[in-house]
Amino acid sequence: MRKWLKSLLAGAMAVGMIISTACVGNKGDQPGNSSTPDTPPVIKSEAVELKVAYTEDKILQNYYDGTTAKANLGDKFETYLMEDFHIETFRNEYESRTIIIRPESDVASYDVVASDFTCGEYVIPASLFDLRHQYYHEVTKVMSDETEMQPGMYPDAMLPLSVAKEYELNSIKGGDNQGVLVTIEIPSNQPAGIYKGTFNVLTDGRSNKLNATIEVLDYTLPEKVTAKSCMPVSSKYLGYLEMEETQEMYQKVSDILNDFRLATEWLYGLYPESNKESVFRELAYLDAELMHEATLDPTVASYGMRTNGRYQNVVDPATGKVVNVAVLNTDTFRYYTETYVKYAIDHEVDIFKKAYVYMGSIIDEPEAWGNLFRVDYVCNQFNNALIETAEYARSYAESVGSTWDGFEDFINSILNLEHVVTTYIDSHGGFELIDAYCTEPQYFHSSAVIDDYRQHREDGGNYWVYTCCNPNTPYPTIHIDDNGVSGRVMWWQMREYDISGYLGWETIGTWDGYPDYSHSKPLHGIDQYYDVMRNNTDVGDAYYFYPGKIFGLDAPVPCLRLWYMRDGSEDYEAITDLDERLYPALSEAYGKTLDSSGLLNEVYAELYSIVKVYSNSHELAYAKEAINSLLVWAEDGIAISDYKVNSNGGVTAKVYAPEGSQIKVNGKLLSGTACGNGMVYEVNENTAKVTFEINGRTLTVGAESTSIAEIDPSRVGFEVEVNGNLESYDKVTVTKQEYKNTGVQTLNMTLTSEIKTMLYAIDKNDLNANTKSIIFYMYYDGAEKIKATINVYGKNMRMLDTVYINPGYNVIRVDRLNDLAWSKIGNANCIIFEFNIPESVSSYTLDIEKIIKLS
Amino acid sequence: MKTLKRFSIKLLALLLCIISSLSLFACTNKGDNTGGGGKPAGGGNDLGNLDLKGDSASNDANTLEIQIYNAGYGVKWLVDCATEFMAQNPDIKIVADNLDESVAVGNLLAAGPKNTTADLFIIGGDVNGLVAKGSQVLSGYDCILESLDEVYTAEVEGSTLIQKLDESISSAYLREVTLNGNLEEHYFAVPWTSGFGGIFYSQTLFTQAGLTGEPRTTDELQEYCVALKSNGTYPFIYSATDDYFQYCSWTWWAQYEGQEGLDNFYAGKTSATARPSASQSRNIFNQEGLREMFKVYEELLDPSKDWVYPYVESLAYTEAQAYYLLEQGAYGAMMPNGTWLENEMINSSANQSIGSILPMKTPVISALSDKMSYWAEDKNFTEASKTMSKATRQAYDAKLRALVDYADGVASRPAWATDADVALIVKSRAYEQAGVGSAMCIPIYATAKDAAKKFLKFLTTNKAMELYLAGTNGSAFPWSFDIKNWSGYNSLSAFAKRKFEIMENIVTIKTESAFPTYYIGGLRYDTGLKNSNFVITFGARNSERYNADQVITNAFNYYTEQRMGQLLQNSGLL
Repeated sequence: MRKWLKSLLAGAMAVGMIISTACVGNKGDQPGNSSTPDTPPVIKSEAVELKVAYTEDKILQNYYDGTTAKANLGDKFETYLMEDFHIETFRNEYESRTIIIRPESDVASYDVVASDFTCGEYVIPASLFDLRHQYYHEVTKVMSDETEMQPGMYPDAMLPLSVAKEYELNSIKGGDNQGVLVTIEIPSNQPAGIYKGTFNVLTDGRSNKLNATIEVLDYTLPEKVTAKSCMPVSSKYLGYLEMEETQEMYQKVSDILNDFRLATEWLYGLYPESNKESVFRELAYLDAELMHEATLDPTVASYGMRTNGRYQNVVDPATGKVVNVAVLNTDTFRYYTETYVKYAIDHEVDIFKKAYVYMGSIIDEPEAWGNLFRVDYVCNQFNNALIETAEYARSYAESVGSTWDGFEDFINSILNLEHVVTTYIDSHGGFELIDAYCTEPQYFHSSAVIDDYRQHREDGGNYWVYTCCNPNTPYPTIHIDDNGVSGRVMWWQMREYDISGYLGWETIGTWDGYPDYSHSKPLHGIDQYYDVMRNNTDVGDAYYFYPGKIFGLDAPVPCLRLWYMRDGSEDYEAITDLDERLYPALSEAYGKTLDSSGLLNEVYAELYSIVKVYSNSHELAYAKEAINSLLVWAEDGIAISDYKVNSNGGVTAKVYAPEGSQIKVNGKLLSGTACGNGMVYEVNENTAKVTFEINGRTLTVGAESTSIAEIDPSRVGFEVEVNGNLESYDKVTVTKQEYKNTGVQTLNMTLTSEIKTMLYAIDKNDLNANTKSIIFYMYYDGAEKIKATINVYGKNMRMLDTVYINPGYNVIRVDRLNDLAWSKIGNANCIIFEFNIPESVSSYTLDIEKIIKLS
Repeated sequence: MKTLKRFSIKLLALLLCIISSLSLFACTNKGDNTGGGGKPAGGGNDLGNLDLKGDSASNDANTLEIQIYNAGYGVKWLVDCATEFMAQNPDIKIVADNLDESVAVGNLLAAGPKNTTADLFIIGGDVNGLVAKGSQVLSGYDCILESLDEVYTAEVEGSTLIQKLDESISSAYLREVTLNGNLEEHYFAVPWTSGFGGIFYSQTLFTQAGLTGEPRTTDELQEYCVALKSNGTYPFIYSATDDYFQYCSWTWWAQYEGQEGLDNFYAGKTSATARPSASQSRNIFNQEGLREMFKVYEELLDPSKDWVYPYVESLAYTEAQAYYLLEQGAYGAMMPNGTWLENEMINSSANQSIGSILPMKTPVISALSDKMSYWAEDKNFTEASKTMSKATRQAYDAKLRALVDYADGVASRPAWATDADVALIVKSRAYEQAGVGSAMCIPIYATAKDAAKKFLKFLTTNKAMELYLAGTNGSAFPWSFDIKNWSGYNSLSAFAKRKFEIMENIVTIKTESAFPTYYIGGLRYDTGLKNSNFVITFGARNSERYNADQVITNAFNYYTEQRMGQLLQNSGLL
């Protein structure tokens, strides 16, 4: 209530000031005033600082009201702020920036007015800009143990600026930050070019102009969304959110999520009101109608089909005991699927193709809740149910005399309906029958486990990612008290690791569960703005909307986190388009298989190592510009393929481009040779830092390379396990020799499965806080692949990655070593490989060729 | 959707409930301070004139508002100490409220000065996690708690608190925190309980069974159980859901491995020189002391021996305790409990007496023999016991008992005992699970900080100690005091005297709450148990009973390489 009164009072003051200003002189007499008679006088003020922030940077309302740690954080984020408002964007892409208004003294009322943006004759009209007042919420306690973020006032609810003005929330205390999120969606027919315009930030009538540019690149982001998503919206919470538990309100939430490239779990939002079979079937029919639309809508990648669970007596195979546990309600599942099938056949539309089933109400995080046997039991039920559904489909199609030519594909869609289970592949040795693992980010914890997921896909399965109260920083989160970089970078990781979908387990959680996490106390109305401390393990999990009705809006208010999630999703789609449309098309044109992965790996390496995210918004912006360059070049018929950092520390690559292209690499103009419909330019640099200059754009990737720890047998030691402890083992012969007549000198060693570790001594300062990446080049000769955990060791040990070492030549790379806690590691003197050898491998040979670092 | 973290928090809440001195009221009647059997005659929660009764206190610098968690010690001591303090300091007024233990104090503190007006919290549990989170607990403060260095270093009656506290306790309360950008060490809490948990026995029932003294080793404890059972007495009674038997686990584990073994465990190290790593650190569960400790429970609680009162699974803690205090063989001669038992008993009902119940010095784990010079087997205790004869095992244990007698000062040093044997037995015998799990702490935003610190300093005086002793029916603050020269000593019960006798030379075990692998990483030594419950795990009367090896295997399997790696990384060790 006090905030309301404060805003009313501020509003009254603002009105008073405007009236007083308006009465002073004639508006047109003010110096520098180019306004029309209806606009307030323009007086340039030096008492207001304007800065620009990337969307994912959470700029707190104030940093200097408490601790040294918070002030230091403020100083750090100050370095992220920019003077210029500049956006580089595609057609069909949303892009945004936050204008930070920081007045010296109190401002009773502010406004931001966008101008038209022009580029010659072309215009981006002002009306396309979406302006949002960043509403600040008190985070009294930061939940992550590792984050640098501090308690304070965090922006989350993004109120339309018009609403903020109407409700007189647009005042700013002197010295505070007020963020205004400016978003533009560039129309798909917007000509490329650099558009210029202004944002006029009015503070109590005084004008503060911010010049801005929007560079529209000559590339159109596809409308189609390929990344699946599942954002359950429990309709019961609609009652707390907007006091309206209706399909109409559910649809509004769904539409807003669609704008953010996300999808609700179910298309029809309401629950069955009784246990009658007819009710279930009616509900399924309503689902099916909406699924029909969604099937044809490229902006919808996926939707959920309904399931219910029920408690049933089941025999636990491990104990032979009968236990009463939750399993699939096969009756209601049959009611649903038969209805879906009938609709599909009657309308000849495959509504199973984009569908999945989220098993959350039946099997959820099984390792936490016991009865692990249920996972395979329920999956078995599900698979059997699908077989029955397919049989039903055949019999129904026959009974109605269907001549649908897509029918067999439809049957395949039924049989391949994916069920999604929130668990991870190395949980209790995995589960036999899971289709899609849906795993929290921290469980994609190593290159080896990511390979395991990829293998699962090759074996016919799939994998998604979900966030929850876990994890916390430095893993990606969608929490309020976390900076937004990781929430966007998560989508880059999804792209790199081929994760096909994102799941958030609830979207409009409107309870107050702090500190008890009881879900028992509902929050209503404005309390949802005041109370963001709803869980005792995180801030912000399970809710992404705020009430809109209380502000006279007809739909809920989305939060800032959805903005950078969308940015991430667009990044995902852009890279997907590069990989799956543009480069394949160019492959045909040049008659070669073009592969962007080498160069993309350099871009990913700028942002994260495996899944932990320590990068900042500027590094993210740089990575995005890199992708922009690749896309723009690809549209121009230019592709960079086969990019490799070699063991000599240099880079080789091939640039394919139309004849007459000017390709410069590290300042040197390359000459090409004919290839297909164009030319190929060979890149052969003796450094791992490479700058491409093509068609007016520049892209620099990588870093200077140095060979470290020159191969020498004296560097290598081994340990075996004796009574649970590691002890030194000196019975391995290590020699420097030529590898198999290749001319390549390697350190050769034959190891047995009893050897647990290899310690490779490195020199002082070989690895330190300035090291970006380390790359190992080695040959492995063994019956099958082995696993190794790579650590760096000084005063303390730090794990770098766990990898598979495959038969043949291995290039093993670990990035962002500069993120490690080097003060704890001290002077690293050793790299330790911890081996995990399968039983089938009793001995094997390693030949270490080189170790290089990039810094 | 529920999460792993919620599961861990439930377990943690239960563990805190147990370790932080359960009161008769706490875990059975949440929020109901009147106890199970009607309002206690002794005024367990009666704050008398101090009682705020939920009202707001004046927020001035001279009104000291205290929130206290009863923890089984009652609050009379606080009333008496506060009354004396106010008499000495008439400008300071003390008011108090009973703390509802269902709300985590950390959250109360994090709620800030607008919501939390208490100047001094007197609680069970520790504050390490809160201090470790530094400025992230509450906006505007580098640390949520006020530094209490001046309380520790002030000279009161000729000595400082640091001098009066055992080093194993004071070191556990010294914490690192970043203040004004600098990493510093400070004290943020003062302990206020000195009880220990362990086994309590009825001397009457022991005598009736022909038993004298206390068992010196765990094997001798089993012999006592045989004797009791032969005499128609159940050796043990407890509430299966409130696992107080867990207290002994720390002692038996530490006796075998030493504090250094526990330190290694919580550092993710299989030995002092090992490196924590995702793959190797899983082997911390193969630490022999853990297995030997679990083995003690496996043997003691074996249902086939019928040493446990048959209905323990259905008894609430209050019921089990009430039956036990009847000192009837039909119920049980021994009960795992804490030294607050006497005070709780007095406060719970006027009709029960502590009778002849005494605290037992925790028997030395018989497996310690395999570290002694006389051990002639080529395997460890448990492995050797699989094949050695009963007589051989008894012979080894006889030697161990002789060493214990020497360590206890009741017999001369055995001729065969080496210096290493003696050093080991003296060290092992000294360990007890005496709580460092209590805290008196001041919120950083308290308005009566000076008054609170002054009161804390007063509590370190002899007068305050005497009032505490009297008010708790013989419990003491955890700092040194010449108890035998205290005027009230002779009126102490045999229970209280025996307690002080045991505590005179104990070494407090540093348990999990001191280590980031626990309070950040969630590492639990009891992971392999069912619901972290010893008596249910080892005492189950159906096929769901585990043995020691299964418990170890369960824990090892739970901590996969991935999970262990993550735990170590989260704890800053990897």
